Amino acid sequence: MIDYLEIKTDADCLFVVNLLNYAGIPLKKVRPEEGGCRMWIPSENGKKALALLADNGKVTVVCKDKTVKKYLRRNFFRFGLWAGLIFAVLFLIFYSAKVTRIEINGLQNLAETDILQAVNALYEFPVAKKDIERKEIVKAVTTLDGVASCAAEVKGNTLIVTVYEELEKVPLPDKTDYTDIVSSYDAVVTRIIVYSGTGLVKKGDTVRKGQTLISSDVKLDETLVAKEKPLGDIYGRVWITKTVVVPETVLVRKRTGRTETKVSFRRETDYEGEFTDYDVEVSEFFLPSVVPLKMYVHTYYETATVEEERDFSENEEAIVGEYFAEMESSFPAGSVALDKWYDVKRLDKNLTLELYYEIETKLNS
Amino acid sequence: MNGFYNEMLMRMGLPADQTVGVRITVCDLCGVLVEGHKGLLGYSSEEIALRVKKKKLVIRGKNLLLLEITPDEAYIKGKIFAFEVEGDD
Repeated sequence: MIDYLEIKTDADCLFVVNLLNYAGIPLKKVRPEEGGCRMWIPSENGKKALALLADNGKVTVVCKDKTVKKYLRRNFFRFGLWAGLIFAVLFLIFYSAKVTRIEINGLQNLAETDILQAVNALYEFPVAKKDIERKEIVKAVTTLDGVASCAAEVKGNTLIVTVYEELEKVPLPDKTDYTDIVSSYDAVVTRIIVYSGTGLVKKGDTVRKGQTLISSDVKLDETLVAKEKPLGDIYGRVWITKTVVVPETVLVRKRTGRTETKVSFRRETDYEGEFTDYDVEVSEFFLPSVVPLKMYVHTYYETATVEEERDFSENEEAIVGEYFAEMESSFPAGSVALDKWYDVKRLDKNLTLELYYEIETKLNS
Repeated sequence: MNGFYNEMLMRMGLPADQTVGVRITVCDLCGVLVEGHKGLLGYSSEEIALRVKKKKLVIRGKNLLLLEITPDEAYIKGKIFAFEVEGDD
């Protein structure tokens, strides 16, 4: 215990404890012993306690003196201890006065090395805290491409640089482009929203492909006409047709009936047989042994591409569905399907499908 | 007066006055803090007796050690078996 005295006295434990407690002296680790007791007293109360016990005729012996004064006297000539202490204190003082680390925050697209390079060009680390000029660091980092602004602060031994990157530049519309908005399809107008310019059509109008929908001319009065970049969205119903000749035969990949089997420890193996085209099925099982080993059976089925006659009437829905799906994949984004139908025409041996699709789409895409 | 005062606080659901009276705090049955004692009446490794108010508080156990004692607090360490308060009401 630091700054305590251990004393041993020949007095009864109860007497000593009560005597010293009534004098306001706290005690620690009071132990009764044969012919007396032993206890620890704070060094500040040591003299008072010894005097009290002596006044009452009790013999007291100081067993251990762990006061700070005694410690210093005992270790006064331990130069290694003092040198170590002084070195530690000086190291702490000098280390705490320096900046040794750089931490960069806020980077998403920029490289950290660029920022570090800019900061290291100003100071050679470790550098004293008082030598760090935050404004200089901010100025150096902000001049880099892609940096909108920057903040620098020193916390402990770390220089924290927070970088705010520039936002992506949004392309602004060219307001000097006075090209009229024209229709990309033959259509019937269903909706028209004009942001700028003059709308030349209204809901229900039939327009041809290439017809002007929104003009750049804006009439200010009877004689004065100004130019403005036309902006707006026009939607209309468009009918798309497609004619396809449906072949009577179709190429199909079929199994010939020949097979080959291979057993292996691995699930993935290379095929080394004679089939040029094949399907493979893999099944697994465990060998009946002491240690259950997993084995894989690879079954190879030879396949060949054959031409087969296709009966249109039996597969009409599926065949037509395939062609309609093909048409749908080519529609502009945002189109809404309204209706679809088809006609079947037979000429000689050929079968022709006429597909019709009605959609609502943006006419000025 | 103190007893009446504490009784009144208890009936009103308020915490009892912490500066008067005796408080005994047991820590995990291996340490006891007695606040408000008036002196040591007995000390052995099986029994420690303290004067509390006008009564005697006896702590029985095994390997008891008076770890710290100040004019009004005593901290006892050891295996605690029982507490007894002796004296007239």
